[in-house]
Amino acid sequence: MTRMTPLEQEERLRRALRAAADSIEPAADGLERIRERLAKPRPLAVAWLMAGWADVAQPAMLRIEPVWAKLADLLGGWLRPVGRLRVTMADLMYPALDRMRPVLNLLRPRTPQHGAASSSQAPRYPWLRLAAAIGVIVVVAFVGGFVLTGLPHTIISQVQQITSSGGNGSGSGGHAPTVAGTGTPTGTSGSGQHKNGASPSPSPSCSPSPAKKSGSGASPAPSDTPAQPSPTATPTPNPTTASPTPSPSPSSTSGSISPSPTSGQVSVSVTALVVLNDAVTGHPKQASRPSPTPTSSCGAKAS
Amino acid sequence: MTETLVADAALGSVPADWDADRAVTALYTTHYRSLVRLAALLVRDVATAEEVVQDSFVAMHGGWRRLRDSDKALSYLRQSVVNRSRSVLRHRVVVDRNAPKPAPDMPSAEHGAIALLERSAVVSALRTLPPRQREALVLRYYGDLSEAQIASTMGISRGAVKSHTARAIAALRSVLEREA
Repeated sequence: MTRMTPLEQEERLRRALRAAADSIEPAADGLERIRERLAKPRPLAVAWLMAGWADVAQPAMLRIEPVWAKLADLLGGWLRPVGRLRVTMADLMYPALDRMRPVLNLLRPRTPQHGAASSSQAPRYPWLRLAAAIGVIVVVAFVGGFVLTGLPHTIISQVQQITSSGGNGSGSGGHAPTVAGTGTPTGTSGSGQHKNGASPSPSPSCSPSPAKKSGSGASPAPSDTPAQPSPTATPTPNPTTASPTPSPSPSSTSGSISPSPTSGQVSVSVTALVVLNDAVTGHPKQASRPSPTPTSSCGAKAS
Repeated sequence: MTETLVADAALGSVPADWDADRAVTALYTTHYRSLVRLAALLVRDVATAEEVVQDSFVAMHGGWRRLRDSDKALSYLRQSVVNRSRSVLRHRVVVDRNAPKPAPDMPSAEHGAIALLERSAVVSALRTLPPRQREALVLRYYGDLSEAQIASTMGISRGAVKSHTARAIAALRSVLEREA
């Protein structure tokens, strides 16, 4: 096989391309089809834009041109980069508009076109793109408005309030009896009792105690106190005072076995359950009494 | 009437006060067929090639105020045809990827048009080239454009044109030698 020279190869390529191209004969109605396309009305916005450009902006720029030239002469090289930038912008803008033409063609009313290619290239659902674009705009606007307004701050602050109130309720179990106004942190008293070797008072404060006799420092029991006081619930004399002061409630730091729940939330829920139970059983008077006997006696003392 | 992809001397002196319609008619008469053939060599489908060239004429009509010169207009038309042919090929790749494959014994709709073009071994070898190399070869050997004109039409540098052309010719040679 003889190897072809580059020139021969180029010549062969040229002949082959010519032969292939010469066999192609375009349809005779090309010009009519072009004119048909040109006669199609443009979308209103595009028509306004083009009219504005052709009738206002372009003549204005043409009038500015001599002024610009004089200014360029006066200022010398200072304005040259600006002028170059202007030309570059124009060069960029026109191809960009040209590239956008297929998109703009989508907005035009379609007429049936002949040719398999045109039918294969026509989008099936041109309105779907428009709907998708509108949807994206709505979502972006909504998210932007959500972020820019103070709504997230409000939500965050409310969540913080809720969490902080919940945390207080669970964390201040020892403060549950402070509803009666006598609640003090029992950790100190408990520790003091430990120091003195006295047993801490895990019992509800309204248990029969020496404090009842003294009549001072008695605090009403929380409503969720058990009906029967615990046998270990002995009042402890306060080492600092002469009269024994029952602690309002056992604290977790005292290390005592607590028969009663210390959480304020739990007390509220138990009360609600009791009220609900009474309401179901039909004893409204009892329903107003949240706890059995020891509590009622405590309430009497407190009043 | 001569039909060529390079500017015609007779049309080189198109008056600037010609309106767009007259310019379109004049350029259509002189260059429409060669532009369709150029596009057909690129997209391998005559109907699509006609669509591409007609779109380019419509675009040229819209930009006539800016062009106002048949030389510039022809350059614009060539560039527009090449760019739109690229778009068609890209679109075709996507369509072919998603379209259901026809039965093996059933020829596709454009099979006839492609077969018409691929009578020659050279043209069928041309089909195996990457799009840029094919563009460079077609513009060089069918359009008889200079390197500068090809660079302007393809939107690349002259060095890139040289590189694409050399690689395309080498690839074409190897394909043809393999077939021979």
